[in-house]
Amino acid sequence: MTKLSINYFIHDAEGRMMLQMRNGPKSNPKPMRWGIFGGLCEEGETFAQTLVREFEEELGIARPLEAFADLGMVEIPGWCINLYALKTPLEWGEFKVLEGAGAGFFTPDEVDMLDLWDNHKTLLATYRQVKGLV
Amino acid sequence: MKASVRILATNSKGQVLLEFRDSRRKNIYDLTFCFFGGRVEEGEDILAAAAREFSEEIGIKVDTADFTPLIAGPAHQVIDETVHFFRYTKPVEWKDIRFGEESAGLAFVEYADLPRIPIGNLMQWFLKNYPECP
Repeated sequence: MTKLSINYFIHDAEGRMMLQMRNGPKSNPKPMRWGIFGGLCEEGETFAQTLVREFEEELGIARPLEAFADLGMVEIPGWCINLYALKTPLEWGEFKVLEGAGAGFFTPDEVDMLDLWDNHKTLLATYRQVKGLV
Repeated sequence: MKASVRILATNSKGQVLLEFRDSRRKNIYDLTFCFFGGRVEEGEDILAAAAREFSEEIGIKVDTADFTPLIAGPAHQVIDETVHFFRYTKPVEWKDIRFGEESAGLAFVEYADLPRIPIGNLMQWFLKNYPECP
């Protein structure tokens, strides 16, 4: 069955993208990789509800739905993912890292050099295509 | 010979605090994980340098009595300097950290996972000497 999930993009005032260092399964030869914040929809939850819930669970601060741009849906085999972008910049000190192993801010060149999760490479490519249109 | 310091610190779960280097320095440590640390200034005591660097980079108040010396060696291949490793003996948690942003990001990682994430030759040398977390 197709899994429903959301991912959201965050930038700082200098345009660097914020990524999460994700915990991976212990058996994975690359247990920890940088990825885009987000998570799975719980049963009966809308994409918008998942976004607001995940943002607060992951970063310890609440933002209303209106704080995000809706970038639309991406379909990857097995997944249906709605993408969002936080409209205003976020800086160190404004959030806490409550899920995942870590966090960082990266220039576009640095993002391209990181070993992102495969699905997240697809999401990133989609984001770069649509962000100018929203 | 020049000297620098690196500090091994852990949270209450025993996970190691690491910085993730950005790509500004254009050296072999770009986009790798490393212990926090930095240069010993001229005439500065090495222990004092460890406390100063650690305090500056993660924004916490520290006492030199909380640093235990570990190994030291000429492990650096970028420039000729001795690197002095210290163990910070108090637990450090996310909530304590006010990140000074000299790096792209930071993370807490299991000691056993360190060989499986991108690290530089300095960290590799340290891990050879300390297969278990000291």
